[in-house]
Amino acid sequence: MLTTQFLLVNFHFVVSLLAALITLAIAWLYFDAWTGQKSFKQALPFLGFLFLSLSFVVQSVIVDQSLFETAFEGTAAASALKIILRFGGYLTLVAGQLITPLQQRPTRKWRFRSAALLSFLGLPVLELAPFLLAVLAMVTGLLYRRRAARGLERHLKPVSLGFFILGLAELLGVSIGFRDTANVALANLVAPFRPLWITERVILLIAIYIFGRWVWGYLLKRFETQLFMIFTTATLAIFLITTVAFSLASLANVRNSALESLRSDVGVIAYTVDSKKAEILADAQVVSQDPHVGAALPSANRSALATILTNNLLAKGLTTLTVVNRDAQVVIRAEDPEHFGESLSSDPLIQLALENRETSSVDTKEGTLAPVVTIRAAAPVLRNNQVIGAILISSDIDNAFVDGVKEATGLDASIYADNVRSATTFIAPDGKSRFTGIKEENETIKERVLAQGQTFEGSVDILSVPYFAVFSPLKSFDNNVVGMLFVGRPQTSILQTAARSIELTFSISAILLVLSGLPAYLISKYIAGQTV
Amino acid sequence: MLRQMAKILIVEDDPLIARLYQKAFAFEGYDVEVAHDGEEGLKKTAEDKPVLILLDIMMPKMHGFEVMDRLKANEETKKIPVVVLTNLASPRDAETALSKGAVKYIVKSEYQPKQIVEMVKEILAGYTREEIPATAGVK
Repeated sequence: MLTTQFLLVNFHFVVSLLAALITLAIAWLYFDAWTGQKSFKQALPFLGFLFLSLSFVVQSVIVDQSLFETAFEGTAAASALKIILRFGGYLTLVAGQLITPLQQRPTRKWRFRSAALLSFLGLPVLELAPFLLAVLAMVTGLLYRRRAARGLERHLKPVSLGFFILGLAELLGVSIGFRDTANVALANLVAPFRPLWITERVILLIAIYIFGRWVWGYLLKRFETQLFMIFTTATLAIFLITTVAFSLASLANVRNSALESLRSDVGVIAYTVDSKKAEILADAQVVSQDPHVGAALPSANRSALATILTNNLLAKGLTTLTVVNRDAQVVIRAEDPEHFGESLSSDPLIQLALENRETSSVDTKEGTLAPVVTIRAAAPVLRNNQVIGAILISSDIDNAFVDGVKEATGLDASIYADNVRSATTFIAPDGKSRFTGIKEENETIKERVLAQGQTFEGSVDILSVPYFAVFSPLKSFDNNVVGMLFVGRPQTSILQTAARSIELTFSISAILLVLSGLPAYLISKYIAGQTV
Repeated sequence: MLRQMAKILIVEDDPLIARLYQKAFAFEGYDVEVAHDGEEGLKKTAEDKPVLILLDIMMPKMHGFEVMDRLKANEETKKIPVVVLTNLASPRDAETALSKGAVKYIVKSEYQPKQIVEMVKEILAGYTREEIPATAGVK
């Protein structure tokens, strides 16, 4: 998707510059004809096509900004300049057509009513700009058509056809005005890189072909001009290949650096989880070494334990705090003092604690909406160097935890229990709920992260939005993968970063191309001078 | 090889067409003069004595047929072969042109510029060998 959009951005650049080249060739043709007579009316078509050519150069550097969300400085100015130049071009051509007398046929007379045309000019020009451009292109086509049909200049037929097709392309440009529509079907149709956008450029390409064929016909035996055209086209081709390759390479670079930064982001989140593990373990140690706990445990003095433990539970913001005796039977749960007596002998952390080993681990448990990732730690309670019980505490990695990470580091992250998202900083479009409980079904990610315990990085679609993403495994103390950490950024936000450099590349290429006209002209003049 | 620097006069009001043929014939080694209307055509014929005239019909100031009448009426210019190069495609116009002494009547839109240049070159080659105008049919 991203690559397709980039190719289309480049397609826009290529088509616009080709249009600039062909209209420049026509301008040159008229300029050359003007040197024979040097009359004012002969200068008008030359100026008209020159303005059109410049407007296409400016158009080429306008990268469609709706894709990139934020507007760049200069883009609005470039759009305004393009419209002014295009207007100037069409109006000059129309004026040239109107003041140049028709080559009348011997018997018929035909008068053109210019009043109807001029009435267009009274309308609010800027608001109706795209529509007026289409009308002006059609009017220009009509005036050339008149020369070919009513007059005798049949050789101008392709020019009139070219302007009609150009008018069609301009008409599709009117669709920009409908981009803010509430109608989803229409919005999709007129959005950048959608069918209408592509059709507009394909039609422009057809118009360029017609103009190109026509102008080439006039360059018969003109070695110098032909060489100039060939040089300029070759230069254009080289610039285009370089620009397209550069923009793709720049895209790849941006993508790599985005993944690189995501990789270090996921490292930061993993480090936060590790710190949390150490913190929970330290909490377990503090409670287990409390002499009041050691004193109350052998006699199972629940009321004394309840006071100490509840204080700890609240003060440290823990989810659970459980005390077991030497036989792994629950003596008290601080979060639920009424339930006690069951055996936790199957819990590996309790088993290790009763063997006088302190451990912390990442685990998962059932939650109401989705499984929950939790950090647990167990520590032995010693009396006279004898293990008399153990403390088991846990703290959930929930939305509050990831929000805390985001507050401290600015990173958006998600936590998965196995392949189900259990906590995330990403808020749904309603602004409140979060997309938890969603399963990650990408087989590559499941295989690489959950089965092999390795990090995955690349492009993934999350709820149909393309993301650059890194998934890293969450492992329990015995090295089993129990879940995943995810950090990712929408691809369009990465594109914004690339867009600035792409637009700069386009602008520089366009300027260099215009500048390369002079050496191309001098070289063709030199070579042509040697052959004749 | 054709004679070096033989002069051709193109009488044509359309600057694009005039320039097209001017460049094409200049490339073939001819010395080319351009006149943009009938009056200028007559003036330049008198001044430059071209070996061939390419003449448009529909022109400002003086119509192509009138230019032909004047050329043929003048002793000095009546032997210069005139090729009519026009957009008028009716047989009547062709007959008129040939009856007034044109050696060839070419309708621009029916040929590629390249073919027209070849036709004129052939006519010129014929004349430079014989130096006498011959009759030619309608093309």
